[in-house]
Amino acid sequence: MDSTRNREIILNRLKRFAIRPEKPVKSELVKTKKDDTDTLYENFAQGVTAAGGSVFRVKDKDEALKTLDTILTEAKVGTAKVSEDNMIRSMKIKAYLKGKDIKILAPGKDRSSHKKACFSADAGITGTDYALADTGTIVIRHGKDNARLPSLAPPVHIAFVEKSTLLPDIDTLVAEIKPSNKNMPSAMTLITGPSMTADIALQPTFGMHGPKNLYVIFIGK
Amino acid sequence: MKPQSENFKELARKNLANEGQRKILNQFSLILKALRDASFATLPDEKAALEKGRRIREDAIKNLPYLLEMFEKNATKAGAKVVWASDARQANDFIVSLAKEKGANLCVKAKSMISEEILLREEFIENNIETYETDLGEFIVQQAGKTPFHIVGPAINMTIKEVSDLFNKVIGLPETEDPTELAKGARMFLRDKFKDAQIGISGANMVVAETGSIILVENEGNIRFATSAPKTHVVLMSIEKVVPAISDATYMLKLLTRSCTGQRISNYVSVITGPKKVGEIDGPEELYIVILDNGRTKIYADKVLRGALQCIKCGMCAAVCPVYTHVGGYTYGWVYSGPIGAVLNPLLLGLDKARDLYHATTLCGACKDYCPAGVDVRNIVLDLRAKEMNGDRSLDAEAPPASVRIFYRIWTWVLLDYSRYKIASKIMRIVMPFVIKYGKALNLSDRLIQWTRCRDIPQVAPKSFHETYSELKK
Repeated sequence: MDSTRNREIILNRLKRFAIRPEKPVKSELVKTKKDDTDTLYENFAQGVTAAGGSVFRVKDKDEALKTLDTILTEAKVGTAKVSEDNMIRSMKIKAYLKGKDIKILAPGKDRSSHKKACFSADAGITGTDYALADTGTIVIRHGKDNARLPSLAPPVHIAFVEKSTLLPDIDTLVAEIKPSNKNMPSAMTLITGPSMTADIALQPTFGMHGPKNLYVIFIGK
Repeated sequence: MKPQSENFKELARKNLANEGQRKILNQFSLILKALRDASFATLPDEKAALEKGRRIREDAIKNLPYLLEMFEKNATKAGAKVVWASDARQANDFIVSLAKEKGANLCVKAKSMISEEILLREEFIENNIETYETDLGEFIVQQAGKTPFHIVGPAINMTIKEVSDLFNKVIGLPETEDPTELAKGARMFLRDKFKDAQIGISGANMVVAETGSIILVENEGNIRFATSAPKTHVVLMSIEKVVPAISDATYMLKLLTRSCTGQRISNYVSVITGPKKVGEIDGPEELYIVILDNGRTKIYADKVLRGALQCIKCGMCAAVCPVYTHVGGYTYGWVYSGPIGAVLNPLLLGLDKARDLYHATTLCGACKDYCPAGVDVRNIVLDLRAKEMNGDRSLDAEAPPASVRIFYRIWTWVLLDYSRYKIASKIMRIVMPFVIKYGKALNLSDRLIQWTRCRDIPQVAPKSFHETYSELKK
């Protein structure tokens, strides 16, 4: 197959009937009016719950850690895969969980050990980059310290959201990212509730391939 | 799937007789429509939103080659490898040989209509690469050896019992009436496949010119797995998937998920820009994007038909279609079903291979009213019928016999002029009683008899409206 030749043929055929974009291609950056945090939070919490997740609002990081502890106990989590992102690091979660009844899986040295850990963990604990009030969505920009599988492979996902990152909706998210080829991470995931399907007789079922339970710990009153 | 659109009538008869299926179709469409309406009600102005969706897709199609160039440039900058394929054969050969080159013997597939169109999975299996559909509906369909029943709900026609029997047979799951247990069975079966697969294949809901990103929408998480766990990720997309900017994509996303499943947003949305970067521990090392034409540039050349390329495959048109909700997805005989299938199947297969599809419509236009991308199926249907009458070779149309063509030519000639029309109706008033009885045509050509099989031809009234009017005026 000659890709270059195909490209020429396809583009030339199309160009005979196409017109050039009139204005430069660029995202429209809409800043939605920001409601007060309490209203935004209420919408956010409602969205997460409607999608089948749970939200806990705490006043600070110390309280967040305690909440984490409670969730881990209640969900009977034995092993956890903890993300290496900034939020998690700043909270010193690993130090906090040391000495408790939970095994923290070491960061993978390579792809396959990382994969193995993520697939075997009972829970994945991650930070988030943004949260969207309108739909109850959390947003993770994946990168070097922010792998993709910890929020996906374990049956429980526990995510921390910081108050300052709560945005009204997806339009504000676009404005916040300032999309360009350079600003985009290799992957960005928008998560609304746990994994779900209704493919058998339209009956909703959680935990299809991804987590069955999503717990969001929202820090800041 | 091998096209069977030629057998539309036979398939329709068979499926209409399937009472159980009709009951499911009925419920399915009612539930889906209610969910859809409720989710659209959360938008400030539904009409304006649909109008904006139409404009975004219409403009994107108008600017298609320029947007594709920009997408290619930005995707390449992000590290993806963009490959162009003209037809199914080329795309299949490329992806299969790529998989072999990577030494892959296990492949996980995310749901993609375009891969159904080119039979990619079958091609992989023939080449001894173990390949699994990972969307639950598609997994069921694959294991049952069937074809997707609906664009969004591929196995929605199957009962819990049928799925239970199937899973018992193919993955050894104990029989159960609980859909959660069935889903769990599939989860456990596919988990190792996600972990071990060397190659993941996905489609694309949209791709973005501005950034070179791929956008994938799902609820299950199988797409996230297939695009993060294996070392190689192949995106197979058709040429019309591109939108200009991220803000256009997010706007369409709002309409897409609402129209698909009545969700304001799907549980997962992935925005993928290039392969993993240096230092990242998961995500594909290589990202290939195969841009496939497979007959679409031909559709693009026609101003009316190209409207079909605006489609974003949400499946809503099927749920509101009086034809689909009776005959179901299998009747369309190929990958695409419902109103959009009634035009896409003939356009991609050739008009002569799917002619009944665009004739079996009521022209009610519900599909257009609900379409978030502004596809005017009714208009395209009428255009296809006209093209068939003219025997359009470029679309493989088979012109009707000369007698029919002459009949319609005379018919048109008469109707275009009032005096001719007046004379003709006078003649008909005398002739009709001899050729029509009880509304049925007698001794006319086969085509007309077929036409009156389910329609009555009314007798011409003894006096026309104009005649009565002028008499009364005196």
